[in-house]
Amino acid sequence: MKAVLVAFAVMVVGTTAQGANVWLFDMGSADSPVWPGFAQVTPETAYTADRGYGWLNKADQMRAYVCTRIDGLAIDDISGIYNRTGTFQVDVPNGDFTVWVLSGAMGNIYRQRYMRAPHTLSLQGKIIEKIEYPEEKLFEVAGYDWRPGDDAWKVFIEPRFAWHKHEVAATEGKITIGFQQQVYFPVNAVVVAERGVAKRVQEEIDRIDEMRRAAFYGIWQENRPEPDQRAEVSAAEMQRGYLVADVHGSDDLHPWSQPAADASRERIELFATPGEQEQASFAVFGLRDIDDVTFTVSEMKADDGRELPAGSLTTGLVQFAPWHSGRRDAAAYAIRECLILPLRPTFVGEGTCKRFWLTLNTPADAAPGVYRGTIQVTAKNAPPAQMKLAVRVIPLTLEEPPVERYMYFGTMYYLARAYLPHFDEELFWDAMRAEVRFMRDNQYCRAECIIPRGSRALTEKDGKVVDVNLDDTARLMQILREEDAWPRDNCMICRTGGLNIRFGGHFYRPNNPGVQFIPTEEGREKYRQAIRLIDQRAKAEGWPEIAFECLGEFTNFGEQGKPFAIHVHTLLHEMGVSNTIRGNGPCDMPPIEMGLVKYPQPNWAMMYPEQLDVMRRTGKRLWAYNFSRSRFSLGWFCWKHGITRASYESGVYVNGQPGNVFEIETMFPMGLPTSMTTIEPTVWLKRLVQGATDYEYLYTLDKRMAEARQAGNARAIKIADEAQAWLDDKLDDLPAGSTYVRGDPRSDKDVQGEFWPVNDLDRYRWRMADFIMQIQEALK
Amino acid sequence: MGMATGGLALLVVTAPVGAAAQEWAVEGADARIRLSVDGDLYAREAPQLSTTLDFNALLGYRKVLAADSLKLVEVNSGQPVAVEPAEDAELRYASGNPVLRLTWTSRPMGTLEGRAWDLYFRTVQRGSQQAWRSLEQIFVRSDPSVLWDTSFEEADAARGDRPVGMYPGGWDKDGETTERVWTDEEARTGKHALKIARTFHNGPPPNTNRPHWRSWPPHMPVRPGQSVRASGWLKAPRLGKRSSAGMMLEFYDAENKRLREGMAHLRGQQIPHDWIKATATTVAPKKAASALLWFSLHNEGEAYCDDVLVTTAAGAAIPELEVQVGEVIARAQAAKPEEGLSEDKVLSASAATAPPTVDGSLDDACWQRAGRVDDFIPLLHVPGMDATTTVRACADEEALYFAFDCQEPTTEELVAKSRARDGSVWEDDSVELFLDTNRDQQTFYQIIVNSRGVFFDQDTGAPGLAGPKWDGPITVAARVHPGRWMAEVKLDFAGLRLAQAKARVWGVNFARTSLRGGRSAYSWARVDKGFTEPRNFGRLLLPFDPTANSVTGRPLAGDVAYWGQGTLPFEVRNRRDRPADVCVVVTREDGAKAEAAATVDAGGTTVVDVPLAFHTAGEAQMRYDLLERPDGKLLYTTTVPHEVPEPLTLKPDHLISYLDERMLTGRWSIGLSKTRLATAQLELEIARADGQVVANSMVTPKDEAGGYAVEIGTLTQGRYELNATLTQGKQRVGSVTIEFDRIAGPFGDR
Repeated sequence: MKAVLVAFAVMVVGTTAQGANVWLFDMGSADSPVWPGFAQVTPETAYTADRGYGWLNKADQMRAYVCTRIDGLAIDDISGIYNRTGTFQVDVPNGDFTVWVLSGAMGNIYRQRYMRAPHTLSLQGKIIEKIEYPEEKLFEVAGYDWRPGDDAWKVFIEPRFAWHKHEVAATEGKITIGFQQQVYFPVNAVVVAERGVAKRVQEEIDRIDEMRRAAFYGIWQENRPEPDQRAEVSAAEMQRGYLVADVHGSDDLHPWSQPAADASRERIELFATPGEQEQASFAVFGLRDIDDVTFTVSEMKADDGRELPAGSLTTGLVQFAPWHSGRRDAAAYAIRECLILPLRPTFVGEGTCKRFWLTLNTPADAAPGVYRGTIQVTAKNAPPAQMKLAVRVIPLTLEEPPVERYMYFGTMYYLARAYLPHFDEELFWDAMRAEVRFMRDNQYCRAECIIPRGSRALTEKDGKVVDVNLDDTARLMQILREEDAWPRDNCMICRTGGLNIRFGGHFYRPNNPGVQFIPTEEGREKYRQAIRLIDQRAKAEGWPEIAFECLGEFTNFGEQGKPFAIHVHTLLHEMGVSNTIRGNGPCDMPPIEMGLVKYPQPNWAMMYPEQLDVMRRTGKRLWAYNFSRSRFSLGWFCWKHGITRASYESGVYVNGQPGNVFEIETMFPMGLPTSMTTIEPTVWLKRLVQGATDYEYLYTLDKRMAEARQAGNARAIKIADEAQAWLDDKLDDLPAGSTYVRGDPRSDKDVQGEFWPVNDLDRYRWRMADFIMQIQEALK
Repeated sequence: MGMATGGLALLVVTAPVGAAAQEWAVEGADARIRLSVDGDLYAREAPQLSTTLDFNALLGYRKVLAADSLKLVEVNSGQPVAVEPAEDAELRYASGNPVLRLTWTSRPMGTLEGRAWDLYFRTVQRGSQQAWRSLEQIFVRSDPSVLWDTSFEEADAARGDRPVGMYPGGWDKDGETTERVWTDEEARTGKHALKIARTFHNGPPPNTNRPHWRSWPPHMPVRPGQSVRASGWLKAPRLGKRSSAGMMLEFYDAENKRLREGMAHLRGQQIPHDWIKATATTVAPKKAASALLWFSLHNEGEAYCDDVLVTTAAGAAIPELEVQVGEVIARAQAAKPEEGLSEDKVLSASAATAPPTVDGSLDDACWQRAGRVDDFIPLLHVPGMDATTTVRACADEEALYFAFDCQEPTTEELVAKSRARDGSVWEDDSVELFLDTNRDQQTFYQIIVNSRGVFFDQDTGAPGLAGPKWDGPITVAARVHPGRWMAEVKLDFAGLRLAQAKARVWGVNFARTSLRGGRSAYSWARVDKGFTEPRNFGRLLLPFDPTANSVTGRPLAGDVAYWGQGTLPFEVRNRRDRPADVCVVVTREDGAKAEAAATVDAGGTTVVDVPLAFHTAGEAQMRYDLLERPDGKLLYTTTVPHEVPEPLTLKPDHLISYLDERMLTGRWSIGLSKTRLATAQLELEIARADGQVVANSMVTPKDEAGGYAVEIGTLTQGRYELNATLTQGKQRVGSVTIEFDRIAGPFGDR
């Protein structure tokens, strides 16, 4: 007879009991996983005598937080909210006990969850441990140099969590565990055991940690690329154990890459104008395991004996690191290039590679000519290798165009404010200054009008806004002046989304989804008052022109986005202040079409020819948003379309904690902090610098051509005409607008590669340099 | 009494511990739980029942289950029933109370006869020596359970040419030689290993299956939420381009239906390699009851597999899954096991003696008698905006018909923006029909209709057809009536893949989107998240078997049709008991037509090659009509897009060449079939602006892509053309011209 299968689902909801002498609690939200055998504890698990355990605090004094997908025990935690102490009680028989507390977090910066501030653990009301989390620990994996075979869990996950173990006596039939913090104290799990079985329980906790690791690898999968075809290797390279080859700046490498067939293994050649930043890179490909690989560059000398100063060349090691891979919700990662770290000896495993980076900051007074030197690669257990390095300094000076590049979010300001609310103010501003310099040195600008969050934002009196706190903005402007980092287009953005919320609007409410601009006239008037105060202050202080925006990407909200966008920009337009809208689709277009927006910022999805025409017609200048992710787009594409400001939203962190690659939310960073005052650039940022320099060549050529015609010099005009024809020919190749690029816009290959050979931009740059020099010569 | 065939039987805990007992049947017990089963339409002789009870959840903190105290008593008879408690190995550590799986056998149950039992037990205080387990028992180290440990040494008793439990599989096509051998040529340990070797005679075809070994039937028992680790050793002494050997662990439900979730891949390398160990850990998905392991070869090469070990990994599971799994199992078990479809969601299509007129009005006689359903479930619901929907179905020999009657008080506000087939109809007020004809619970036909009768159709079950590319032989009409709108859909059987379809029971779902006051979405089937969950579809009962005596077929050409290719293969399947004379007619969208005839044996399958060449790159929509000879009756029709690649593409490395560079380099790719590629020639010429040829080079392509390098060291500054011409024999197949500049580079004086 065939059996009838019958089943019943048992819902396990917070009433798990424990072993006779051991109590195990998994803290977290009601919906998140509970480790097998542990009792679920949520903020609502209040202590009752019947239950025998629970929080002595009220539920609203705590929060549960679920982080990225790791394992069932550490995936979520409970913490007290700001400045609240959490106390957890477990009823036990009187006797001696051992208590373990698992504490750690993989927090997201926007949720402001990290145990950066010192916190304390107490048992039976007495502080028994002060837990420090020094700055070095916060950043310890941010600059990690990954090597094949590394255990991602050990490197990136385990260090974020720690078991704190203590002994305690119970004399009143209970144990109380206190979590005191200035900010947050995440608690993932608590284990209480009679001391006689503590050793046995410790074995189990060790085993649980191993299972957490297994759970992590059961969830996360590495997407490893197909191996490249093995490169041909000479006898000398085989004997040496590695080979060295040039790698084009726009090429992505992964650890198992092989040198390109046409990559030079003998020389790297660059050209640059005085004052220009130029990039080069090469990689070492291991034919066996090679330890402590590094390199030096000799003096760069011209034939006449002149030298480039030693400081003009900066050397770096390109970091491989795990990154989210595939779909946003996929639990998959790939080992990819990320930061350019200060040069350090590194390991190159057999069949793998490491890339090294050279940044040339050509001195502004460098004399034209060819400077030659040698790159010497050394290793601990292999002979050295050499490559020739030649730099031609060409006799022209690039003009600085009135064009700015800007990043929206993910700046040190938010990083510091989120992680370090109790840091001293000066260190905070040191971090900001580091970011200003970092951006300035990489063709970007850090100018922004900052309205603080929360109650610090503004002062109201008699129903009116009488003051807006612009102290942070003033301090930032001071730094910009001191660091010679003023925006080249003398403009900066002020985001006013916080004011919308403060005066009654919203960006999402469960019972009223979507967005809503301030619904009352009273609220809108306060918004106007605040805007006016900011604008007046900026003009009075001589700050850059402020372009106000309020949210953006209205297409995310569908049809509801349109009325919001129209309402807010009608108000700003009628006030006569400058405004901008960063858009991501058709619902951002209506206020632009209505002529309400001074500086429209389309992203790729809005750059269709007809939409661009509208924006050029109705806006004063065309900006671009979330766009400049490759050399091609920041250079030639911006030039073609007259884009005078290009922004991206990533900045210098990627939402998660530094080094937390498993909770990155799609961001692509320009750089990442490896300490509060040190930011290392990514390889992608260096490609953007190349794009900005391409733009300077285009701008300079354009000016020289105009000068040639103005001068009436027949020879110069002939060259200008030839240059113009070549330029027009190239620009004609490009579409009148971009269709939405479905590839990875971080890669020139997916964007420029549709039109031109991907690595030809260097040659176009040389063509422009040649035209410029010819015109200059003719005009002499 | 008839034999039980499965059916709805929900087991419910109906009384908490401590509920007052009307008759306390077991002395010494201080608590009981009532377990009950609702009867259903099926009579059962001696149904075996089981359930899992977590006493941690049931007893709370203070009390624990006393050892050996469980007694099960049937409520009606008062008779004790033997019950077997089994501990759950995954949950038993670190827990004061057990998680027990109870199994018992019921007395016979008649139709709709329910039954109840009381589970009596005794509780003791925590720490009592009489508790279910002592501390050391709590921490019993639950070593991973070995699910399978094999070196493939033992021969199958029935077939001496294969190891026990392993079956070879995968289709061999023309143009390949494939072996699946239980070999003693190689072994990592012992004497035997599994071997797969495949060679393509003309390079890999665009669509290949993977020759494999698999451990069928799935024999490794698993539980949902359980972590499973698999390891095995792979060796691949020969591998072609983009080829690899690998293993895969996949899960099956209690009815041996394959589950898509939880699969774990154990990958070998993509270059030839000696024995390497591949490992993976995964979590058994909802409904998982067993697992099996595949060993397969992707593309071509020679590969071996040995020493497979599959174990559970206690505690590494994400418990969240277990809770959800429980709920789903309750519903899934209620379904008829071999169907996997909702038992209570059934629409019986009636036989139509006269077919309805498809006009958006349901006044045809057949609709009055047709089977109907209206029990839709809201997924998104705007309060106060109820939308009642009734669906009817009937069929005749030619087609299947559906009628949607959508109550709509404000028809003037109906949204119907889509005006052309395959537009975004789902953004309108619309109804949807999903049909899983082969009941694979993965693929389906989907038709969405708005109130204008504009529709979107897709077939997710054929390569390249997901999305709007498929245009089936579908007739749709819709009309707005006072207080409602109606739609009729006619689906010709000739347009459905009957070759793979099940006989009389198909999976089906209906959906309705109403935009009145916001978006409301209703599904007829009891889905978890969205309409498109074929595993949760209801059933459509057909009045006859449309596949019986059918002659049907399918295109085999795949997504790519090469430039100039001579034939398009089409498979014909004859389910009749007599030979079938058929003709396959292929019509390209530009009107070009070709046909081929064949006679297919009774019960046989034949591949018919239809001669048709392509000389235009891009997507080509091809309609395939299978006709009966000599009367020309349409047996099957489908429209399939084929992508025809450019015959010749060049990607230059640079468009600017420096004077100190000796070679002009780049990549070429050729869109010819492998056979034609073998006789093709690629000629590269470099010419000045005045047309004078200054350099040339000849390439004999061996593959579909490669690199070129033309000697240009003597060329002076100026603009040049690279002219590439692809020929086959004397015929010119394609040509490309690229302009490039030759200039002095920055290091011309090097």
